[in-house]
Amino acid sequence: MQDLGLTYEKESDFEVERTISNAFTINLRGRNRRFFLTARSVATLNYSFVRIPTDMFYVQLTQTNADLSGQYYQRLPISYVDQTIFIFRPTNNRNFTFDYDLIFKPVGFEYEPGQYFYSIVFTLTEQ
Amino acid sequence: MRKKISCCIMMVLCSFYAFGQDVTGVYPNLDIRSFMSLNVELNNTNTLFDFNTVDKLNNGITQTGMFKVEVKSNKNWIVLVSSTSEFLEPEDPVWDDKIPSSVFRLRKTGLANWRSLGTTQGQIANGNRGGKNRQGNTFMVDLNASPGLSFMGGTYSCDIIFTITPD
Repeated sequence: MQDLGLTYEKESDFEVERTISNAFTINLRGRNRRFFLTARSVATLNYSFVRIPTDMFYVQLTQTNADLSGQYYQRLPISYVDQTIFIFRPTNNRNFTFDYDLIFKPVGFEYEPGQYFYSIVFTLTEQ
Repeated sequence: MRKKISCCIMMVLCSFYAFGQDVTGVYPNLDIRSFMSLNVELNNTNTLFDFNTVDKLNNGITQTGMFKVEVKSNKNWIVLVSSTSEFLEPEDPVWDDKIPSSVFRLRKTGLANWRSLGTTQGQIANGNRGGKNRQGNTFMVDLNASPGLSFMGGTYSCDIIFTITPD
């Protein structure tokens, strides 16, 4: 998995949306059951006196070998509440991969300099 | 009584089987460095202060809202002004009067007190971190010139430096 850190130095770094392409891949092995994947973000460490809201990320599916409907290719906002990333029922027992971009919203200039760490927690439920 | 207990046990086992869960994560981080930027535009492009009457020489000329200043900063900030030289620069060396740059004064539009220009930086505004749309981060600056009657006629100029620094 690649480094999911961004440095903010130039004016444009703060003002525009930034994307880490193919930031992560989710691997599943089908068992002829339905999979529910949800995600939420958590601020884990914060070397600053202020907090950036946890709803500053989107994920966007770019490629998969699973047969998913188009809605799951749209960018999905991540917040502190679990959001559905996809619901998928494989028809055979094989490996499925899901490649995602990670999108950072513009941070602007409201947050003081510092290092801000997050976890995006994925929960896979089989049914 | 015995029947009820066996039903409960069956339900718990089924639930476990139906809702297997796995949790994993990815770990983004942001390294936000200090950033400050200052944009100064001439709001009134006429930078010539034409002292063609005694009244203007005595009372000075004020250009209200001469400069538009925009601040983008992730630290609380101060904007300072200064001149590059202690004296104005004559266009023709024959005008050798030493007119101090302090004949120019600046203030944030809407405030009462003027700040005389000099080679030492003087504060004209301050504000909180934020983009240019944050209240107080875009403002106008008035410029006043009051040379009085003590100096020889001529054309003189001066550079005005705007500086932003953390508060």
